[in-house]
This record gives sequence, C-alpha cells and structure tokens, in this order.
Amino acid sequence: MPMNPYEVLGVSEGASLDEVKKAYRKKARENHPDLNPDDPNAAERIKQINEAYDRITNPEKYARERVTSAGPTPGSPFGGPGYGYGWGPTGTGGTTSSGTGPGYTWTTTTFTWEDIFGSDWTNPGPADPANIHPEANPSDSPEIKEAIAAFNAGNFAGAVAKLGSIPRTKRDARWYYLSALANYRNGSTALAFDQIRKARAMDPTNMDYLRAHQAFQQPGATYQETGQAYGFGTGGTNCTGCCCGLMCAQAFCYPIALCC
Amino acid sequence: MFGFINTNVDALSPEEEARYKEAYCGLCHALGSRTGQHTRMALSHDLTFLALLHMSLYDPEETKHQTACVMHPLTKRTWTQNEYLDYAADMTVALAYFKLLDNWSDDHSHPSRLAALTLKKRWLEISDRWPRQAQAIEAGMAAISQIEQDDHGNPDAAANAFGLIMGEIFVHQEDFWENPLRMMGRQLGRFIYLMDAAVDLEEDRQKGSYNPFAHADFTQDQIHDLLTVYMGYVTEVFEKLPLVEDVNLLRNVLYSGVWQRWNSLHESKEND
Repeated sequence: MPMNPYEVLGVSEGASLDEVKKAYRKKARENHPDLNPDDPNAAERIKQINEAYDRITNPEKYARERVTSAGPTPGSPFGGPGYGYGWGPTGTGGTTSSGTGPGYTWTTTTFTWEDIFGSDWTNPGPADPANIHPEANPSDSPEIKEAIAAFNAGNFAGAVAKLGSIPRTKRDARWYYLSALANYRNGSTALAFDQIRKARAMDPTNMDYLRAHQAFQQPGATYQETGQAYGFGTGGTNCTGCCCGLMCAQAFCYPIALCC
Repeated sequence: MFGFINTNVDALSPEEEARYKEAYCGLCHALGSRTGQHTRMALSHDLTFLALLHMSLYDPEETKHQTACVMHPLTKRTWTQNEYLDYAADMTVALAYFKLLDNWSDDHSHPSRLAALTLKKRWLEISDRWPRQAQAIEAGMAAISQIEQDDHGNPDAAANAFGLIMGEIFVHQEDFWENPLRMMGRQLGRFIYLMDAAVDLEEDRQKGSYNPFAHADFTQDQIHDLLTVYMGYVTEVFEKLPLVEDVNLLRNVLYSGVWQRWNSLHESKEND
C-alpha cells in the first residue's frame, strides 16, 4: 500500500521529529472522533494518520515488511535483532491483545507467569546488544557451544539455562561474558551487569567484554545526555554512567576499568 | 513503592506547576467521587503522571472546575476532569487494595485488613470494568509475593513481575498505541521496583528483609547507573510518542523528578 506518510501528515520530508509530532497533533485533532461524531470516515482517517506517524518514526519496521512476509521472529516479540523495539504485536508476557493494526494481526495469548523471564525485554537501544553475536571457539565445551547456538537462535532463556547447568568450578571469564549477554537479552538486566563486571575483572584487557559492557550501558548514557539536552540533570551521585558512554569509546577506561 | 514518579518542583515553570496541580487535584476528586472520600488517601503522583501521559496522547475533552475542597477549604483550586483521570482513579484503588492485602499478609496489620475490606466492593467493580488490568494486578502481586519468599537471587525477578503489572496499567485501551505504552509501563515498573529496593537496601540488610540487591555486589554508583538504563528504555519509547501538550512537564518527571528521593537520600548521607 503505497502511502506517502509525509503527505498524510502534511509535512516536508526534511521535517524534524518535533515538527512531525506537531503535524500529527494537528491532524489528529482535526479528525478526532469526538469532534466529528457524525463522520463515519473519521476513524479511518485517524488510522491513516497513526500509520503515517508510525512509518516516519519507525522506518525500520516497514523496511523489514518489504523483506519478510509478516510477524515477529520467535523469541523476539518486539521485532528482532538490530531493529528498534518495533511496535508490532506483543508476544508473550500475559497479554490478551486482539485486533488488527497496520499490516499485523495481533494474536491472543493467555496470561502465564512462565513468561516473566521471556524475551519481552529486548533492548531497544541504539547500540543494540542484539548486534553482538558470540561465536563458538574450537576450545569451547559442548555446553558452551550449545548455549551460544541457543543465543544466536534467539532462545535466550535456553542459553541462560544451558549456562546455568555448567558447574561453578568451570565458570571462567568467558562463562560470565556469555551469561551476561544471555541474561541481558532475557530480561535480567541487573544480573547481566553483575556478570559482565565479573568477566572484566577476570580478564581486564578483553575488548569484547568492554564492548558488551558499553553496549549494556548505552541506554543509560543516552538517557542522561537527552535529559541534559532538555535542561534536566539527574543530580545525585557522580556520573560514572556519563563517563562510560562518552569516554570509553576512546578506551580511556581501559585497562583500569574506571567505569562501573 | 509509589511516589518515585513525581515532578522536580524546582524545575517546573509556574504554568507547569499549575497544570500538574490541576491533574493531581483532578485525580483526587475522581477518587472521591468514584470511590469515596476515604480513598483520597491513596492519591499518588505516579498515577497522576500516567493520566497526564494519556491526556497528552489522546487529547480528551476536559472539564475544568474551580472549587475548595476538604484538604484546602479556604482557597478555590482549579482541577480538571476527564476519562483518563477516572481511569487513573480506578487503577489507584486497584493497587491500593492489593497493597493493603499485602500489608495484612506481611505484618498482620488489622487496620490494613479492615481498609482492604472497605475497598473490596470497589475492587470487584473495577475488575469488572477493566478485566485485563485487574488480572494483571492480581496475578502480578501474587507472583511478586512468591518471588520475594523464594529469594533465589535474580535481582530482576520481582522487578520484571511488577513491570508486567505496570505495563498493563499503562495500556488504557488496546489500540494503536498499546505496544509503546505497554513497553513504557513495563520498563517504568522495573525502575520503580528497583529504585524502591535501592533506597530501602540498608534498612533491609539490617532487618534481614528481602531485597533484590542484598545478595548482589552493587555499589551505590553501580545501582544508580543500572537505574539510568531502565529509564533509558522508558524514555526511548516516550520520545517517539507524538506528544506535544504537557511534554516538558512529563520530561521533568522522567529525566529529573524520578531521582528526587535518591538524591535526597544521598545528600543527607554526605551531610552526615
């Protein structure tokens, strides 16, 4: 369906996000069902306006639509690797969605608590750890290889479980690194931070571990920068999060691991 | 657990402060008229924020009033009324009901049990009107209870369960915006739970009470940085929503207000 979203919203293609938002609001108000009670097409026009806004703000989602048929990849209900969090159908996690949206049919799922640790927490940040795909080394144990395979297939809970089956005596830096990655994608963010720090303490010069740590922190760094850009400071304790976001890229922190 | 999602008053313009009060008073009135004067005690900033978020997104018709009230009998205050404040009032009562049940089972607090009984009829009405949210709250609170009892060491376990509750509360209706709202609610719920744990950590350690950070090796700085990650997830979604009305007020809460209790806790420590 060839829609020109910019035309629908009445903005130029170079418009800033703020301008797009304002244009949206203007259109939404003009076509508000409450203000157009006798107009049966108002609801349809709102749908168009919503979709146009979505196309402009989440272009990756629609780019993917052209490539694959539809639907989320298994294990990543919010849209899959390298992909923004996607406003597609919610997967598990106890939702009972129904209805249709642009290009999607939402499924109805029942509410189960096994879903608490499911992959609903896909990191939506720009330095998406989804782009970190660990590779098996020839020297890896079979369990480690299985865990890595599970991880790369998007089965993060499976990867966590597999790694958990490895006895404590065999838990080296690499184990902590892989566990950190799996736990991060599986929604155990605090544990992931704890584990990546342990991995780095055991192997301080490892650049993969540093990169993973930075990737984990990126949403926090962006948050603080964005807040400051809007004139808000978080206040509070020394801003080690800020440091890690900006300076670690130049390997200032390495090898002393000043940040976190 | 509630009260972290609040404004940083010092950073609000007079107009923003007035607007916030309009909504806060509006929520108070909605509670009073829908449930009864006694529930005005459950009034929270968190659900005021949610109402303002919904109002900004959905642009509902608002009815403004100017009246004195029980708490402020001498001066008239402007307050606003709309369906999203009514919703926030219902969610407030639902959460308050379970908080009271929790208190009763934790501490055998008789006042809590009595208060819960007075809310029960309203809870049943609310769960009829909002079955999806009610189911999420009920199941979520039970899950959290169990997780806190089991205490198997994953700091995110209970936080994620609370996140699922807030995720459903953030979704007023299942429409085009449900996914970003749900995601925002989930991440904010995780933040609330862990921020609450962070400020209670020392006390819980002394009392031997459950705390997700008790078994983990987190310094205060590391907790702070961890919490900014959750807020990062929240604001990433938030900034993509087409919000114009009250957006600076909402940003005040998300980028600054949520840290107020943390800041005052740490400042008072420095001054010790």
